[in-house]
Amino acid sequence: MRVATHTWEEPDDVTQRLKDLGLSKEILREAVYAYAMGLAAATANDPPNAGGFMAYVYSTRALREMLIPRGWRRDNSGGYCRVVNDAAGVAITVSTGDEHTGGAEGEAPRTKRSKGPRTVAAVADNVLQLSLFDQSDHDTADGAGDDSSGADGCVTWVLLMHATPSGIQSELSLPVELDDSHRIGEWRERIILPVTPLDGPSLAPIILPEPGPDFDVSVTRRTG
Amino acid sequence: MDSSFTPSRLAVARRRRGLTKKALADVSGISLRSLTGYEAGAHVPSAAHLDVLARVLKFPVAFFAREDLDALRSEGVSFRSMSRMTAGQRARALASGEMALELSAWLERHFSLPDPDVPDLRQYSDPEAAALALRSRWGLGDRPLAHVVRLLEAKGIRVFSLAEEAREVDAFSFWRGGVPFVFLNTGKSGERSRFDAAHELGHLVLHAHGAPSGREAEQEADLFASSLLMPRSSVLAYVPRGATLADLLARKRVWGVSLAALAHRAHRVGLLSEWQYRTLAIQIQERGYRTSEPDPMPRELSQVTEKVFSALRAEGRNKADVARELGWPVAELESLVFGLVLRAVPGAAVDTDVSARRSRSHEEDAAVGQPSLHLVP
Repeated sequence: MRVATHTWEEPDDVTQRLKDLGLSKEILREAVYAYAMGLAAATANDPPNAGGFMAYVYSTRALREMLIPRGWRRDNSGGYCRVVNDAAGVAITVSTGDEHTGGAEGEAPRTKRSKGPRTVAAVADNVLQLSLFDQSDHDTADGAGDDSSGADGCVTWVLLMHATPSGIQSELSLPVELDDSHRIGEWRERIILPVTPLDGPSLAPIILPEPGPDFDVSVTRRTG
Repeated sequence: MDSSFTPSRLAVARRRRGLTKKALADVSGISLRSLTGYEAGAHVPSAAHLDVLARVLKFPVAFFAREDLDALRSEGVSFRSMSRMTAGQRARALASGEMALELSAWLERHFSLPDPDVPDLRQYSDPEAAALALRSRWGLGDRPLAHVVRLLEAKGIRVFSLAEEAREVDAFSFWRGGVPFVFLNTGKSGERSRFDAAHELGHLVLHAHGAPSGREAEQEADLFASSLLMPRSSVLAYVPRGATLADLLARKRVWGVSLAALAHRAHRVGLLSEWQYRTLAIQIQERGYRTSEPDPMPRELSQVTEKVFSALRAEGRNKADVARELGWPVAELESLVFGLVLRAVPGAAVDTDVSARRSRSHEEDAAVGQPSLHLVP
């Protein structure tokens, strides 16, 4: 199935579309910061790819910590980690994307790694959910879901993130198709987020200021 | 015997030992009624009772014979964590302050110390602005402070140490006769002690004469200290956005602050988001960095003390002589002057050989930061 992708990139459009989903740039930026923090937390003594794993852990945690106080819930069904807003029929998972992540022009991004069976199922759910909406003339996916139709009646968005030396490119996107290697490669909607600049951790050399002036205390012996 | 007992001195010695009158009665075997009478000045202890009290309290008999000490009332004193202190801890700390006033008077009789240059900054409603104003007045720019205790002493603040075991007693400060006093607990880390010194400086400039007290005043003094030690512009220039624990660890020495204090400041100036700051705070807590500072810096000591005792030593006198002159136990003197740790560190060594000084140029003196101690024969 090939679908047309709707890409939101104008700041006002992005803000409005995120608002429709009960989200904001600020909320997602916390997850992006956390992703960067996770990448930077790995040391040479960690197992290879620890940074990527910690980035996944930290960003998942941050997203949930930001959203659960706002009425969302976490869901780990089948080991598939999402944060879910049942009322809005929306769920989010996080993933590392390729270099096309966050770019409105050019190729659509793909997730960096092959996805497991639960992702395959979630993407299939999305297709099912969206086809139901299409039949009822909805053109967006934020309406109330029908609990009987999908696994939990939610469409699952992916917060895609990709680190470059200058910052983290990111987007919140709605997948509808996996490629042959089970990487997500087709999107119904893409909400392009601003690049989150980083001058952090391993990315910047440490430059320190000159020490400040020291003082000498005048102490003089009195006569007599 | 009549003329050689000062009632208030018994109370000071008792408080220094952290004893209530009842507790002192128990350990000395002197009745509570008698002790109350002695402290009230209603009765004078017999020579035998005075000997017992001196022995139990570990103060020389001579201490009780000297004139009244200047009394300090807790209302005039800025205690850092008043709410967590017990009345006994407060009384003990205040007694320390009263003895420091006597030591300070002694020091001023024998040595000329810098005159106070500590402005009243109550007109600043924002402690951060007050810290900037003070930096400007003292010509510090936005560079890190090399040595907070020396800075305070150079500006005429008398700095003494508190060898209190009670962790609740961080530090305190007060004005007395136009002279500002600061007391720092030597049980804290070097970083924490610098912050305490800056915090007390905040009280001295912001709350000098009966301004807000309690929690509000403490928060203002904290923000003042944080801003003074870590100016916004300097932190923005040298701490990366989204800094990790490792980033902060690599930089905290620049400002001579704790990891926790730098994380707090980085959050306040907008370099860390709420979530990042919370995560770092948890990591700092989990790794025990709040109680055991990683990559710790050496404790700052009083330069006045170092110079004074070096000068006295050159005259063949030591701390025991000073203690005897004051009628104090040596340990009380030590506890107020940072344990009298005299170390051979650059800029702290006192050169009392006048001819040797003359053989060097002024430029060399300036270059090595030679202390300006002049012994007058």
